[in-house]
Parts: sequence; C-alpha cells; structure tokens
Amino acid sequence: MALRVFKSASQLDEVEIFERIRNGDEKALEIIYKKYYRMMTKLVVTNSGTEEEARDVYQDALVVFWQKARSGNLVLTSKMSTYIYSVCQNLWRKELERKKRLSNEERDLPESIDMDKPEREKIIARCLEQMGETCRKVLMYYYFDEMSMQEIADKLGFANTDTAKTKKYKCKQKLDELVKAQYTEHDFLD
Amino acid sequence: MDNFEQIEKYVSGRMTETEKSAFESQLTTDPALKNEFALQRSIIHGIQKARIAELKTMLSQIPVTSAVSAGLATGKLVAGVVAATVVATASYFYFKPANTAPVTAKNESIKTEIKKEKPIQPETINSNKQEEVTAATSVKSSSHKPTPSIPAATKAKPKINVLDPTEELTTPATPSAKAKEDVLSATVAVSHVAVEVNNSEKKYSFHYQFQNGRLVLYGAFDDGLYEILEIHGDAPSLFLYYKNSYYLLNEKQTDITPLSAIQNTQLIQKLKEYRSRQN
Repeated sequence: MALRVFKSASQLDEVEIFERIRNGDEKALEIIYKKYYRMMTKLVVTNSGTEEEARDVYQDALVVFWQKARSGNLVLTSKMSTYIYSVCQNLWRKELERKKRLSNEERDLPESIDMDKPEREKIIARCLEQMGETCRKVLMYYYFDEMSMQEIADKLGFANTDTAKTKKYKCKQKLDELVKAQYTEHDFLD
Repeated sequence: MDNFEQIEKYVSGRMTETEKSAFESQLTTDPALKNEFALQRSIIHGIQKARIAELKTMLSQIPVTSAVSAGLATGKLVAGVVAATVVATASYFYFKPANTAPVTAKNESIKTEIKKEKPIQPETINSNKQEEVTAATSVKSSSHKPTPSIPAATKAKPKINVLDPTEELTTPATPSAKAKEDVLSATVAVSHVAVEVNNSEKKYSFHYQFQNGRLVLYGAFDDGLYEILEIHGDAPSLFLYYKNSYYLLNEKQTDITPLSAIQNTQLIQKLKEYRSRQN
C-alpha cells in the first residue's frame, strides 16, 4: 500500500502543454492562462497599468503565443512563461508608447483616418456572425490558426480533407458575397 | 493559379518567397488584381480579428486570481496540490513502523507542501524525478535544504520595471524540494491525473466528476486547500481531503456527483495517518 498525492492541472508537464497548444488544443491554452495570470498581469499593474489593461495585454500575448505555436514557427528555447512574459513586456511597452503619443498629439488628429479600418472590421465581423458556426470555425481555423485541411477535418469531424476543402471554399465564397453586398470594392481600396 | 487563389495564398502567408515577389510585382501592374487584393486582405484580416476576439472571450471566462488582490491568500485559483508519489516500497514502512523506527522518523519529515496560488515550477518536479536515482542509496539529513536555482533570466531587464517571471514559480520550490530528501528508498513520481476546479456552475456547489481521466471539482474550492490522496491497496482508491474532511472519489464516476464526507471513523483514522506522512 502506498500513498500518492496528485498534482493539479497547473503542473502538467510543460512539454506536454506546449505540444497540446501546437495541436490546437484550446483547453491547454486555458491551463496556461490560469497558471501565469498573476505573474503576467502583475507586470502591467506594477508599471502604471490597470487590471483591465493587464488582462488585455496578457490575453493578446497568449493569442500571439497560440498562433506562433500553431503555425509551427515557434521553437521554444526558453520556458513558455519566459517567452509569454517577454511578449507581454513588448506589448505593454508599445501600448505605453501609444498612450504617450496620443496624449502629445491629442485631439489634433482628424478622426476619420483611424476610424476607417475598425469600421471595415466591424462589417466583416457582422457578416461572419451571419454565417453558420461550422463555416465560421472553418474560416478561422484556416486563416488564423493556419490549420491544414486534415487538421480542420479532424477537428470538425469531416469525413476527409476534400470535405474540408469544399467547406472552406464555399464558406469563403459566401462570406465574400456578404461582404461585397455591403461594400463596393472601392471602399476597400487603401 | 487564378487570381483568387493567388491572393489567398499571399494573404494567408502560404506563398514561397519567389511566388511572393512575383505576385507583388504583378500587383503594381494589374489594377483589377490590386482591387481584389485589397478586398481579400480586408476580409481575411477580418476573419483573423474575429478569431482573436473569440479566443480572448474564451480566456475572459476563465476564473483567475486578480493581480491586485494578489497579496491576499483568497485567490480563486487553487493551483498547487503538490506531491510525491510514494509507491510500493514505501508501503512496508507505513505498516511496520515499530520495526523500522529510523525510517519512519525520516518519513515523518516528508514535507509535501500545499500552496495556494503558487504554481510549482517544473524544475522542482524534475529535480524530484532525478532524485529517484539517488534516493535509494543516499539518505540525506533532514536539515539539508536544497537551494532552488533561480535562472539568470531573473536579472533586471531594461526600461520597464521588470518583475522576475520565475520568482513566483520558484517561491514554493523550497518546501516541495524538501520532500525529495525524505523519500528514502521509495519512488517519487509525478502523477498524471489532473485536477480542475470549476466554480462557475451554480448548480453544483460541492460536486465532482471524472472527465477524460481528469478530476473536476465543482464548487467554491477557492478559499480552501484540497488534496487528492491515492491509496494503493488491493484496489487503488482515491480520496479528497478538504477542510478537515475526507471524501471518497470514484474514478469511474463520469457524472457530476455530490461529495459527501466519509463517516467511518476507522477509515478516517487511516487516512489521517497517511496524510500526516505528507505533512
């Protein structure tokens, strides 16, 4: 007879978690989020940021980490926490610089210059919302998570890569139509 | 490759360098392509933004310990139930304490610390593993305290007032590292069962279930400490220790089940004994 006391999820092996993230396992990302939350948000909070800003920066950093890991372009030479921490640092530094710039130039800037792009984003977001859940997932997995057709098929339970390909094609076409219906092409010219 | 395919490949970063420069020069000479390109780029960026928003929403729903109240011990996250797995060989000592007095004395000093909000650094665990090799041959003095090595990365970085990212994780290293010296000939291994606390379900205030091999605890476990004990007897059994009570965990229980405290005083006594070995 022996005694064993388990470790909680937060101590799952680094390597295993990283591997899971690389494979697009969102649960693993949640584990990481929880594990480093205090450590990462503290960085912003102790450098003249609010808790809100801290959370935002940390989430952005994790999304960057997620995408990098997913795309296979990230080879971890340090611990995950060290990497994520440095992303947080950079993001927060940028944000501080942006804030400083804003307060210097303040209201002199005509609003329209910067308002243009978020407006388009909103329209596309609205169009995406009009599409089915599966379509949205296919497009996001393909264009953001950079999943292969095989991965998309596995994740969404499609019969094979051909189904995934067809789905992706049709969903994209549908989205294009929706967007074009709202906007003339001219509006998208930079 | 038609225009659509080309644009898509370019925007989604799936082009080779050669293809990329060819496409870019084509863009400068073909206005129709340029128009379509601008549209496609916006749409794909829109999809990416939507995914980022989705991921962030997902993360926002996870209960976390606030950085502001970090100094307080009332976090929502019960991060670390640390432990050593004492297998097989140790059992002999547990049940024959009289015959193995010196060994038992050592066992009593096992310090498996439970720390709230402080995740244990993986290194610590690794060092425990390494200790497997040496533990059998060398019994270290219990006064010996291994100093956790703090990576060089902890040194200050420029500009931003930098916190040491490893500091938080390293803090609990000392107590848990203590455990390794006390394990004697027993094997210390890291358990694979994960524990997750879910306090977002209003319906389940003090429940548990096994989900894909991981234990999910439902309820406000945030302001207390929990420990999971596994007893390798005739059949392995799992127990939860929480606020001075013990609860039996059925690993086959995949439904959300209420936790009810064990009443059998004999069993409680036994479990207490096991636990005291750890503390």
